[in-house]
Amino acid sequence: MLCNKVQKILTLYDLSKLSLEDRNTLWNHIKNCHECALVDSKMKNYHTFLQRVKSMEPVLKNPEMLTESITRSIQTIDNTVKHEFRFRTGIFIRQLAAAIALLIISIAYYQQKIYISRSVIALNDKYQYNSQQSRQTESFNECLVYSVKQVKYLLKTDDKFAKSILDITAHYSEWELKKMATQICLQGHTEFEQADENVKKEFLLKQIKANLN
Amino acid sequence: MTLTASKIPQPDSQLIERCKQGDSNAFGAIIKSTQIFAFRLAFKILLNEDDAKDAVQDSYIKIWRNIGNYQPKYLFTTWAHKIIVNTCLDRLKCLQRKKKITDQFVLPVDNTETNLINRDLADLIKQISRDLPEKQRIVFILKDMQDFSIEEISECMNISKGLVKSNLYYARKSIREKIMTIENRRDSNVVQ
Repeated sequence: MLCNKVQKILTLYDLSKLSLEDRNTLWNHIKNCHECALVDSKMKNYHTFLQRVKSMEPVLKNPEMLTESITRSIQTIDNTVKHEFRFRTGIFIRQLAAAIALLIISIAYYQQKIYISRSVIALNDKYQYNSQQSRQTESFNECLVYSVKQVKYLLKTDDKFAKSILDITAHYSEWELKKMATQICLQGHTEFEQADENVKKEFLLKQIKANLN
Repeated sequence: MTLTASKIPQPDSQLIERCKQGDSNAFGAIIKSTQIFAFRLAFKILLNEDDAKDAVQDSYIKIWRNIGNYQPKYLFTTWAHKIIVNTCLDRLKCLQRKKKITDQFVLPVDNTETNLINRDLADLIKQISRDLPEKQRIVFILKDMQDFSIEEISECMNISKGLVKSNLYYARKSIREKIMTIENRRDSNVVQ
């Protein structure tokens, strides 16, 4: 057995727990090794010294006072904890109220935002509708101008047309022609718009005749 | 005679359950039955009666606060000792930081008999463990003065069993030399 191992066993382990064989090997080594025998002797001294120290247990004076002091500290802490709990509950309620208020403000803000965006969309739609309307009005105006021109033109150029309606339309004023044209347009400017020149003429004649009659 | 954590009488499990429910009277009963062991352990680590009492008080407060986390599969005293040892170690670190300040003050001396016993014991432990690194000193106190098992020390100090053994080996090696010096000095004093 190596000296290091023997000295480790002597220092760390309870020799009574070694097997008989190990113990004999150990004693044989110690008998022949001065260094390990010295360690063995020192360890015996160590254990004897330790027994002496261990027999001197520290004495606690007035153990009741210590118990009371600890119990009092614990009660103080418990009261502090209860107070802290109440304090924390108060804080929690305030935080909850603040959170709810914040939530309401956020909801209101987003509602307003949604309302605004909806209004914008509605306005946009309205604008688009209006521009569509205005386009329609433009087309109506074009039709109106054309109708007036055509009526005047037909009255001047188309003898057949002029003859048939001269007696009634000769003294027609510009304003009355416009009114007539307006009626023509109102009745079917979309069809009129899409038709070709001859159809337009026929249509106008038909409408004028209908109006005159 | 020192008692290891497993040999100290364990508090009744019903008492522990009552403590978990917040019954301070039940905890008072536990304090009464275990405080002496806690004090002895704290005294051997801190080597001062007042510091030991303070550490015991702090430890019981921690035990009370954490008793809800205590699992009955462990011995109550083992669990409590872990808290006491750690509280003492924290206090020791704190004291070492304040050492320069406290060295300037002369503490009042109480010459009653009990105090002399405590002082003699503290002196003796100081003599043999003075130059030891802290870990070796604590392992020596827990193993050789308090008869803790290697497992208990490993659990209390949060270090491996191998490290406990290694610290114990170096502590014993150093202390046995000091004992030789102390014994030789005592013998020479007797001869003179």
